[in-house]
Amino acid sequence: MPLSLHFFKCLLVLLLICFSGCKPAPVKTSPVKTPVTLEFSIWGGPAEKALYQQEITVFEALHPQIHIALLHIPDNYYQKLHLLAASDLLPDIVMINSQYLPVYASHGLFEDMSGFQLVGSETSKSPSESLSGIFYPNALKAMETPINTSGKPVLAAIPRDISNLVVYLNKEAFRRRHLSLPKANWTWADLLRIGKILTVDNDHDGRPEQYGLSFYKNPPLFWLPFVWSAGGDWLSPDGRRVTLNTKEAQEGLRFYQGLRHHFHIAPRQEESGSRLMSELFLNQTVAMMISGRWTVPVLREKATFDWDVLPLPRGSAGSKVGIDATGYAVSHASKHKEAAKLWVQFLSSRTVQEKLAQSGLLIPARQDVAESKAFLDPSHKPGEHARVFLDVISSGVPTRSHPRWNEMSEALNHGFEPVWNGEETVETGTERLIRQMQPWLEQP
Amino acid sequence: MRSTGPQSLRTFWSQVILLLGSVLMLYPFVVMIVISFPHGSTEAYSRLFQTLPMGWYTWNSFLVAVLSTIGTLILSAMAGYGFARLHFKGKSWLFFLFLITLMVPPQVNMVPLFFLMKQFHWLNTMNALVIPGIFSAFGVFLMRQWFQGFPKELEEAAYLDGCSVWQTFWWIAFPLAAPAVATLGIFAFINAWNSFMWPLVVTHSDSVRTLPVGLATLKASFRDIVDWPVVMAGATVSILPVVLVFLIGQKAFIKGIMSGASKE
Repeated sequence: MPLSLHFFKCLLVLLLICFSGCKPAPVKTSPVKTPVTLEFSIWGGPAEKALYQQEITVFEALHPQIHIALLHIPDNYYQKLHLLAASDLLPDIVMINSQYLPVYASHGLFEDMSGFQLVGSETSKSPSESLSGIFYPNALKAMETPINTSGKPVLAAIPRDISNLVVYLNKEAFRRRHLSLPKANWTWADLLRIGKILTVDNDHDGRPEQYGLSFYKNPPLFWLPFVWSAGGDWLSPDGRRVTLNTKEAQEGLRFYQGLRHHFHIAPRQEESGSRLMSELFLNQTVAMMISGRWTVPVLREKATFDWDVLPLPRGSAGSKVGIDATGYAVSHASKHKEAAKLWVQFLSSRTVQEKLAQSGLLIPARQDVAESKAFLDPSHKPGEHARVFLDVISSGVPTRSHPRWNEMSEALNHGFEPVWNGEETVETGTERLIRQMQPWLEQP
Repeated sequence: MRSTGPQSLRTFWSQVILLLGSVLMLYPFVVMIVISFPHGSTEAYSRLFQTLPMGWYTWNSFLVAVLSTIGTLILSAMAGYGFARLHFKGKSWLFFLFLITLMVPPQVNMVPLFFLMKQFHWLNTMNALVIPGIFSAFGVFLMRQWFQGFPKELEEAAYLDGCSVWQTFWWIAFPLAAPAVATLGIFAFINAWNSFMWPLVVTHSDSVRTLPVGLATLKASFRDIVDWPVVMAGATVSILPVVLVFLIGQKAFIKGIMSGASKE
C-alpha cells in the first residue's frame, strides 16, 4: 500500500510536470490586470492567417487577461481600413505597409512608437533591447513618417519584414546555352547580352519559344529600380515635384520599355497572356525573372530545375531596388494601448520572427533573425545565397510615400501602361503623368 | 420533308451563332472546373473543405440570399403596386427619385451606409447583410411595370366584392404577378449570393461571413502563391446553388423579363 501511494504521488507530480509543459506559463508580472480584447487586422493567405492564429494561442496563454480578436481582411484591405478609420473603428493593432503608412499616420491615427522597447523573450526574463541595432535601419526608416504636428519624423509602426527585388535564374537554361552565371555586380549591358542569348526563337517566327527575362509590367515596384539605378527618382527630395522627366529617369524608363519592345528579351503582353510570371518561369518559358522573396516557397515546391538568385544588374548609378516594409502600428484611439504594445512586443520577438522567416515568404526586419539559420537555411533553396536578399537592403531605396498615396499609387501603376504596351513614347507618357500628379503635390 | 429554302439557311446560321455564343460563355466555367481537378484528382476539394469552414459560409450565404430575396420581393411588390395603382400627391416625383438612385453606383452609398450600420450597432451581424439589400429601386421599377400592365377589370371585380386596397393587392394582384416575382426573385437571389464588397466591409468574423468573402481568404498576398485549384474548387462549389435556382425558375424568369418589353 505505501508503495502504491508513493507511486500515485510520483505519477501525480509527473502529470503536473507534463501538463505544465504543454503550454507556456502565464507571465506573472503581466501589466494588464483586467480582461481586454484587442482587435488585430492582417491581410494574407491561409498560411499566414494560420501562423498568426498559432501565435495568438501562445500569447493568450502568456497573458490570460488579453484576448486577441484576429480581423483577417483577405481583400481590399486598405479600402476597409479607410472605412474603419473614418468610423473611429480602427483596430487596436494594424498591420500596415510603409507605402500606406503616411495616409493614416499623417492624420495622427497611430501611436508614436519611438520609445518602444523590445523584449528579448516572451517571458520578460531577458533585458529590454533597443530598436536600432535590432532592425535594419532601412526597415525602421520605412516605418517613419515625416509628417506630424511638430514636423519631426515619428516611428509610426514596428517593422515586421522588408520587401525588395532580386533576379531569379534558371541555371539549367544557362547551361543549355553554355553561359556562365553572371557575377553579383553585373550590369545592364550584361543583362542585354545574356538576355539575347537566352531568348530562343528556333522557328524564326518572331515569337520566341524562350525569353531571357520577365517581370510584371505596371507596378512601380518593378520599373522604379531602373529609374533609381540610372540615377533618377520619381519625386524631388522635398517631395514637391515629380521628377520623372530628368535625363537620368528617362534613361531608366527607356531601358525598361526597351526590354520588351526594342530588345524583345521579355515577353510582351500579348505573348504572356494571362499567365503569371512565376508560371512562365516554372515552365521554363523565361530563363530569368525579377521578383521578390514571396516567390521562394512556390519555387521550392514546384521548380523541377536548379535555380538561384542574383541582385538586379547595375545601371550607371549602381543597382538599386525599392525597400518597403510591413509593420505593426498601434491605433492612437485604442483604449488598451499598453496591452496592444505587449502584443506588438511579442510579435516582434525573435521567436515569432523566426517562425515567420521559416515560412520562406518574407525577409525578416530583425537583423539577428535575417542572419540566422531561420532565414539562411542551407537545407532549403536558395540556401546561403538567400544572403542576396539581405545584401540589397543596404543599397536599397526606402520607398517614398505621400499622404495622398492612394491616388499616386493608382497613377504610378496605370499611368505608364500605354508606354509599357509600346503604344506611347516614354516622353509623352511622362508628360501626361506629370500633368496628372503635379497638382497633388502642390496642394498644401 | 426538310425545307432547304432561305428560311432554313437563316435558322442554320442563327443556330451556329448561338452555339458559338454558348461555347464562348461556357468556356470560363469549363476552365474553372478543369483547374479544380488537377490531374483528375479531387484533392483541391478536400483541401478547400479542410482550409475553410465551407459549410458555415454556405449556410450564411444561403440565409442572407433567402432573407434578402423574400424582403426584396415583398417590399418591391408593395411599392410597385403603390406606384402603379394608387393616386397620391407627388407620386411621379417620388418615382423619379427612385429611378435616380439606379444611376448612383453602389460604391458611393457604401460609406454612408457603413456609418448607418455603425449607428445601429449592426456591424458584423446578419442585419447589416440582409436589411440594406432588401430596398431595391430596380425591384420597385420592375414590379411597377408589371402592375401597370395588369388588367384593371380584375381589381374592379375585387373591389365590387368588397375587397380593400390591401386585400386586392395581396389576394388578387400579387399572386397573379408570379412571373415578375420569379424574375425579381432570381435577380435578388443572385445579387445577394454573389455580393462581395458589402459583406467584406461589414463583417469581421467567420461566424457571419458569406461564401464569396470566405473564398477571398484563399487569396494570398501575391498572385504567384495563390493555390488556384483550391480557389477554382471554391468557385465551382459557390455557383452550384445559383445554377440550381436559375434552372428551377428559368421559365418564369423568361416570361417575367418579357413583361417589361411591351406596354399595353
